[in-house]
Amino acid sequence: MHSLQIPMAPEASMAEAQSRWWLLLRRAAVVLRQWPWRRMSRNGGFMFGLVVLLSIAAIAALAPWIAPHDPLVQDIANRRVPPIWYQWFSEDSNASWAHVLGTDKLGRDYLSRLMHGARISLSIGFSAALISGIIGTVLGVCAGYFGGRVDALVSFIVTTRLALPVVLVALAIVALHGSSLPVLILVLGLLLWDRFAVVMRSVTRQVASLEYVTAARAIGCSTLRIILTEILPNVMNAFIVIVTIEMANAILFEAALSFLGLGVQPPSPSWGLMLAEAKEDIFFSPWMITIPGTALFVLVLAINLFGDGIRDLTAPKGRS
Amino acid sequence: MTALLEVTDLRVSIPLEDGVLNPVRGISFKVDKGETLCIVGESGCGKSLTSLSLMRLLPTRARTSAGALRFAGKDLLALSEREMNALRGDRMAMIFQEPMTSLNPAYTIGNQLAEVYLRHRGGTARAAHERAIHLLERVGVTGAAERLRQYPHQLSGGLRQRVMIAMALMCEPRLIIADEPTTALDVTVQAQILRLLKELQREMGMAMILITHDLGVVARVADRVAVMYAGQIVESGTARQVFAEPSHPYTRGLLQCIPIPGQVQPGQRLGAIPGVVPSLTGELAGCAFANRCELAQAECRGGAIPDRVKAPLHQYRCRFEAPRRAPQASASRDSALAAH
Repeated sequence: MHSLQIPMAPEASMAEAQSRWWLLLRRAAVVLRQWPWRRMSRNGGFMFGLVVLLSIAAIAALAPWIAPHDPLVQDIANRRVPPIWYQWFSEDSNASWAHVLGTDKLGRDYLSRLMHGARISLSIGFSAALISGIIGTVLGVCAGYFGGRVDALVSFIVTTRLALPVVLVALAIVALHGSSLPVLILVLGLLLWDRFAVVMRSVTRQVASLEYVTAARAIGCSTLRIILTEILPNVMNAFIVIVTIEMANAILFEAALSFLGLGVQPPSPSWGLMLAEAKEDIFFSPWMITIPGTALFVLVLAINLFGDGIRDLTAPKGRS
Repeated sequence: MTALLEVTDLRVSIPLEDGVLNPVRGISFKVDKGETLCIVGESGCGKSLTSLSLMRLLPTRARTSAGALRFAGKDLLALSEREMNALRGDRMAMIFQEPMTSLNPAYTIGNQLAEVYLRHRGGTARAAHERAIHLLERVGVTGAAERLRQYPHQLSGGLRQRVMIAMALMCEPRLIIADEPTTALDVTVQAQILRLLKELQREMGMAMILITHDLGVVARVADRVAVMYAGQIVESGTARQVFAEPSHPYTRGLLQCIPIPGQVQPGQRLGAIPGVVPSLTGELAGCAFANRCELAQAECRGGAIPDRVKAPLHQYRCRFEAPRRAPQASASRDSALAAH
């Protein structure tokens, strides 16, 4: 009878290990190579989102070096200095180039605070979306691929999670544990994964029912390998879209928590905290609340447009 | 010498909310080395599920049982999932019906071809690449090296099916299961693919199970034929036996449905089998074909139906002895079909 053992030369093992890595690398490079670069540049919303997002990210990354002042240093002599355009339109002589966006009620430079605040917003948004993305994707892909009892269990967990109001739970945990950046990231990351789970589940079900997944099993791929190399690359576009949605969500939640005093603690320059501190001055120094509000609005808008653009660009029909 | 694949009393059942679906109800067959078995039957008679169950690719809720399911001396139902994975794609390979969806759109052809080889044979990426080029050329893909860098959406249906065949052949399997490999293709391409499959099979000495509903295909490639109806094999035998002396009323009905050039006159009505396949839920009593059969009597509707042996290898499952045909007419029909 024919032996089912596969003969293999012993010296092939090194080369074989290399070739396996090579195959995996090639598969990773695939995502980049099929990227529709040309169609991307024609999508206005996407380009706006991308440019704004990249600029804010660059500003956030370089904040310690490009910020004109220390965001924490108080200058009591120059409190509530209006932004530079007050000099042009209201002929307010207090406004000066020294503080382009003015100062707050403790005399801290608003532009510098805004730049440093971007670091907090982006890092919370990105980390929380990543954590929740990993949790939700693992749950959703397992539910979608295995179905049956796993699916029922995951659906139960998702329903349980949906029954918890995010803000209230976040408030409770932050109130109990004290607030710091890592705690905020963890709390939001552990609370915002429901959309990932739901979407990944349905997308995975769709992909798993396609014949190439059966074909992969027919050539002897293990379950783990099928999930990693057949399912994941084909659900990635949905993942990226949800990442952007949840990132915007997390940024808004952080702002809301900070506004309520339970997020980032003073004197850290969070945009939500800046809004909270400025609310008493809304009538006499309206810029104090308008500027961080606008920044938040532009950032969230950019992220959403970016996500929409990615969804349009990776829509399967126009791939060729 | 035992057969390469030996299936005895294979049953598949799928529990559903409203009862148990029994798409495969105790079928038995053998495939020897280098032999082609065609499983014929209309839609929904359990052909595809039979092929999937041989590879153990059925969804997890489906239950497979068999008196024996032996492939190359191994009991397929006793193997662990890991041992089964080592077999799939290496010793037994499968070609699917729908070439448009059976390749992963995210990877190049070359990557997917190489994967099979590296998975089972190891070696360098270069060796796998060369093997892929060699096989693509063998299955008639021009500019093979170029094609390896392309993605599935850049290929036509016929080309993709050739790629699937090349993929199935990467490790020189001993058994290849082709589930309606030509159904989704143009008629001209169908003929090419069939010829190619037959050629490659002869060249590599593989056994092949071809699932189809097209009797023209069967006449062209089959060594042996098994006619399936409602999850059972109602007639089996060598291709010559089945075409020359179709003995089950269902087989005869199927053969009357095909126009034969030179024999069927314009305007002449082709045969048709009235009714539809019975529901595969629950148990069947008596003959599954009884409610569509023109010869059916009261005793067909209950009790066990015997398997009658007409000649060595030629069996059919019917209450009644089949009438003999004039051998002359059927022989000419057989040769006309084979030429068609």
